[in-house]
Amino acid sequence: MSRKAHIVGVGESQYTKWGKIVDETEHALAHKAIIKAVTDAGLTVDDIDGLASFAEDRNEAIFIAAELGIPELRFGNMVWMPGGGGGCAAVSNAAMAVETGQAEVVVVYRSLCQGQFMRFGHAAELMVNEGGDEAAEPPPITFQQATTLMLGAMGHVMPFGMITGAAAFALPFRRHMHKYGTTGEHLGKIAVAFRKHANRNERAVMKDKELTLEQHQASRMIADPFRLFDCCMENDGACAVVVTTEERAKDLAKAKDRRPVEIVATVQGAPKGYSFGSFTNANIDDDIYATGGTEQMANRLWEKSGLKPEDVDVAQIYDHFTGSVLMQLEDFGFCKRGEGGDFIDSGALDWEGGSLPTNTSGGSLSEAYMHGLNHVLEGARSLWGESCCPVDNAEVCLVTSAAGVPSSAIVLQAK
Amino acid sequence: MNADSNQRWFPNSMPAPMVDHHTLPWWEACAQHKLTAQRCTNCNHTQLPGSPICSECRGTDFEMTELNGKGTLYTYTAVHQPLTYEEKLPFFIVVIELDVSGTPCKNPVRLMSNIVDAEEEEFEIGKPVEVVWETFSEFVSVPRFKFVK
Ligand SMILES: [Zn+2]
Repeated sequence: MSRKAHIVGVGESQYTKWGKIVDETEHALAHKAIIKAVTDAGLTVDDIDGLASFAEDRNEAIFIAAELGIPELRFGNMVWMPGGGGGCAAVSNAAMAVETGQAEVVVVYRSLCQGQFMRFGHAAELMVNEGGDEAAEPPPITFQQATTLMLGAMGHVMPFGMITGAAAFALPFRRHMHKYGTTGEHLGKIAVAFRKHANRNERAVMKDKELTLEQHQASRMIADPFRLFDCCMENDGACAVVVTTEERAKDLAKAKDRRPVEIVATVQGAPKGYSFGSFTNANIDDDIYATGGTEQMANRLWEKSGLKPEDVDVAQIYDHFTGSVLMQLEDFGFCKRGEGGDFIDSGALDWEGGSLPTNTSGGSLSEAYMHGLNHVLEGARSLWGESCCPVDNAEVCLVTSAAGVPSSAIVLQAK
Repeated sequence: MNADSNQRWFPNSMPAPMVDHHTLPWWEACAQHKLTAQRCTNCNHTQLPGSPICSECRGTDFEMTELNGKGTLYTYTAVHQPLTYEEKLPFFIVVIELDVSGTPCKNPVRLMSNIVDAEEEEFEIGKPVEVVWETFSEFVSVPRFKFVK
């Protein structure tokens, strides 16, 4: 029987506003999510033989494996697509390990306590020059040594104040507005659609907070055109996804009365010369600048999967910022380039009546910011009929990772 | 140009440039108030920031070619969230398409920077801009841009 990779279990810790989890460490949260995910699959920790993560997760697989008492670690993998670009790539690497026989059961996890460590939205606080002793003559401002390629790239733009994702991804979206007439109201409709889904989701940080388009439009500007509600949250929590072979998946799914969910195709990558995308790179090709940078990758995904955008019943699109959702919808061919605004206006993303129910658990804007791995959990749940916003007879789900940086995506199909 | 005026727009607490062997020459030219780009002497492909290799011909010989300091606004954002808690808000992060006319550079090159001395209403993609220099120390000057009036 086939070793084709499937998702068989998902699990997460509680999700909270950043800084709320103080009595548990980040790696303890990772354990919690991993145990919940294997339990959900009908497996135990003793069945795990591979671990994969991304986004420079601080909780290295070797320590997680040792602490959990995993009998033998046969696969440990970290993705190089940066930050939230790597979530689907981590699932992709788990699938490769399983399909090539390097491991049988690989758990993909992401644990993130922004309160215990650094809030991504406030990374600048570590980088700004110290004021120093006011009485003493301050030393002259001079260069700092970039000790990594990433710091070299960031070090070229930080003197201009480029440090937050909001500013980094506002730049390409501003150009999209200029080229195609897209508006802040289009962005608001995305935020409102996802919030409605989160209002039905017990796990969502924003479960009890409603959001109207008027509230969105009145919210404070962060990096024009992105307002507060265009930006993802900053959260504490952990989540995990279990990947194994078709052979095992069929039995496990039967025991849970679920349809097996196959990872039909996976892609990761970046266009030529993209480096860290719009964060550090002002010289992205003009054709690509006002996009999510994921069109080439999307075309490969459709080709590999034998599926088309029209086949997708439900989508989980990475939403660090609303504008990136709109541009990815164009990249993946759900509408033509420049028509993302009209697509949003049609109500396409809504669970109720939408042609492409999207981020059915609320996404990073309203469920939790787990660097997009929670989108993969929701992708599996949406095909098992276990979503808070279940889509009738959903068979195909697209899950994407961050736009505007090197990224990844997967297509899941219930068989 | 304001080489001697020592005008300031941002506080000293802004992040200083973080450099390596390949990006340092550009910042050293900035300290002389020269706006440059890294040009491959083999194929004239021009790139920023500086790199050890030309991404077009894979040549490894370069010149820092001085540009005329003019350009056009490619895209922008008004940042309303404080970075250092000392700067004036909003401030504007922009991408400038630099004019390479009069040089052997074979492609225009873009630079992330700031527009200063402008109101939000003045921003329009494609508008002409020119460089102004902000001197932090004898080592560090940062190129910002103004709209050409
Ligand atoms: Zn060359």
